[in-house]
Amino acid sequence: MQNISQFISNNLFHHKDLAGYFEPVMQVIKPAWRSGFFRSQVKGIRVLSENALKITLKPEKKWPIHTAGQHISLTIEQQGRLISRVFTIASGAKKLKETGLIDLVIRTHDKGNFTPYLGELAMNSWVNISEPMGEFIFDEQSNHTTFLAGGSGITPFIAMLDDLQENTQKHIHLLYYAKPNSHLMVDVLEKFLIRLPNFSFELLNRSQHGSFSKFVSIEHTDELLVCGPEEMYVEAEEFCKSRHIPFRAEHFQAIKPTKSLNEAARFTVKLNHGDLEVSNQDSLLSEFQSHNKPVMYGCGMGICHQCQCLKKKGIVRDIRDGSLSDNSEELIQLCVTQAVTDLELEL
Amino acid sequence: MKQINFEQLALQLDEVKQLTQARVGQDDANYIRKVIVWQRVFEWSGRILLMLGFWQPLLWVVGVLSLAIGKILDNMEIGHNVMHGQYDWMNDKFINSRAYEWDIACDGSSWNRVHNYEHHTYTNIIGKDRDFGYGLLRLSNDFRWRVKNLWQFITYVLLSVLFQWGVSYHEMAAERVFFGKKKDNRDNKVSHAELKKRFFSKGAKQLVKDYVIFPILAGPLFLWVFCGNLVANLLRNLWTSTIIFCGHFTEHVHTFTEEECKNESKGQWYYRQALGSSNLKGRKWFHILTGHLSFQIEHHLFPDLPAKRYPEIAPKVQQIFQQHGIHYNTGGFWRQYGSVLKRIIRYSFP
Repeated sequence: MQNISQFISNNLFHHKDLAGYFEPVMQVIKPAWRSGFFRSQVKGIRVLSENALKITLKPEKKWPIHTAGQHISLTIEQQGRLISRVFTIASGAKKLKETGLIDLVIRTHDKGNFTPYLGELAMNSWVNISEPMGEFIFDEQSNHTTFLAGGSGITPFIAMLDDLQENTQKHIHLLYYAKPNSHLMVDVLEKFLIRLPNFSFELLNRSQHGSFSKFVSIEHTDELLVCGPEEMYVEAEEFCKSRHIPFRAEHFQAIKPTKSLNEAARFTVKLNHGDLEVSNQDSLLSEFQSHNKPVMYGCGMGICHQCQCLKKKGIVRDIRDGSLSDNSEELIQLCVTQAVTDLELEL
Repeated sequence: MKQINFEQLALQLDEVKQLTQARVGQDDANYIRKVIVWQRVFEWSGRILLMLGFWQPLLWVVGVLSLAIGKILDNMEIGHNVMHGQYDWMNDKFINSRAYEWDIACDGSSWNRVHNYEHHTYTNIIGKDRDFGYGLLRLSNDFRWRVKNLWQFITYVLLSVLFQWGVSYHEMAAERVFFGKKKDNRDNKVSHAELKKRFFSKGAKQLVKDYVIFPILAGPLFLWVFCGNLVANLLRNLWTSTIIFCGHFTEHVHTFTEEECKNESKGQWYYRQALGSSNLKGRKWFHILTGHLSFQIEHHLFPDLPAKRYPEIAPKVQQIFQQHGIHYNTGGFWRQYGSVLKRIIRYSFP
């Protein structure tokens, strides 16, 4: 059936996707209806702290039920531009089944390209979400588990605890690192203390408490689950390997320019056919040409789009006006862009 | 080139672009989606009405017009502009220059190479911009007169009637894929085999769609639909070619030599775009149906700005041109079209 639809779409409508051909028409009836995405309605926005929001969404009925710990890609339209970010769902599957709702707890950044707009979403407006993704889920076999969370990395653990039965005999100890007084959803964690007899948690901060290693009880840890920034993940991996503790992790790293924009630097460009090291002083097109990479090009001044490619990850600078791109997927022209971070491109 | 403060010209035009770009956003995204919705409405109303021609021939006529408008919108306001990258910033999976393919015989990537790259980079540079006369028409003294130019008005009419096929064949003709000797200095971006494959594949899709599949779907009304599609395609061809000719080949359009464009500055590039194009005055609906190519000057200056923005920047551009003493070539449709015909006829002769 899918093949027939694709054949018709390609040959009659010049579209890779039949749904894509009708997408703008469908959007007249169903706002934010998009081929390859699920619609989801904004049902609540709550400010948790100065820089954290809880957004409650009602996914459309055909959205597959998630498993606690999984994440989704959230897409919003901001000034006509579709932008996406990945967030772990901060509520369990039980809540979805009972209420049809999921929660996202999101750390906001004033100068970000995405999170500042989330607070402006109107109630009952529509956004797009992907299907649930990821393998970071709770192991039912484990009797003594230690959760290690950093910052907004608390969200998958909230979902996991949310889904545990009240009479569970599992012992779970949560070590939650955040900046002083920045721990999120502490009230929810306190409610879990009452509901789950073998659950306990500690609120920690790096400056005062130091490394997590001294808080992990090795004899009472069958498995360590980690969700937090890159550094936490690296440290936890080393710790678990040296002590032979099973370990699973989900980590996140905000890609930011590591060097001053005027400072010469070299970055790695991951291509669909091998990697390449480029300088940030010249256009990507010149860099590609100097490495004899086969690349289509034309005017060399950003007009003809011959050297256009898809940037999957990383930040580039537009040579014409100095503006920096977003970190997410977008089309760029090699002749008028320079690398500002490591990049992943699809030529 | 004329003595003009090109540096100042570039700064002023860059500023117009930056200020406009800063305003581009939700309105533009909503607009292009709305045009796509209308395109679908016109196309499908047209296809349905064509089948009702047996019951009331007037409905067939309305159907043809509706389908032709659908095709014109697809080619001009949507296809041409989206494929210029005017809406790439939207990050939309379908409305972008990489994904969009239009409803004409010409393969999008071929058009991108010849039009988007050659024509927009080397606008009206004789020997570099193969769009100036398409290798078929002599439109200035830059070309040697040949006997075949005597009947170039007929060639022009035929080209207009078969315009989508002319556009489709343009790159192959220029690359001398089938006939003629390949030029030594030509740097082929794509192999001849690939060009042929794309030409035949896209062309066949268009023929099968309009003259086999949709007529067959109409069953006993095969001929009504077949003829309706034929006339709709003809109307679209005549309209697009006329608008494009009016944008490029009016009386006062200038040509340039490779020599005078060597080491060209940004300001000189703008100047060449300005003198290589001409505008048409008209109402809003007229501009939409031309894909805003009625603002050909603004389009050539800023080909990747959403075309719906051209009417708002045109007065500023005109004012800047005036300040620098650059002729702003604009006029009503009939006046500009008359001057195109005059040019075609004038250069038919030595």
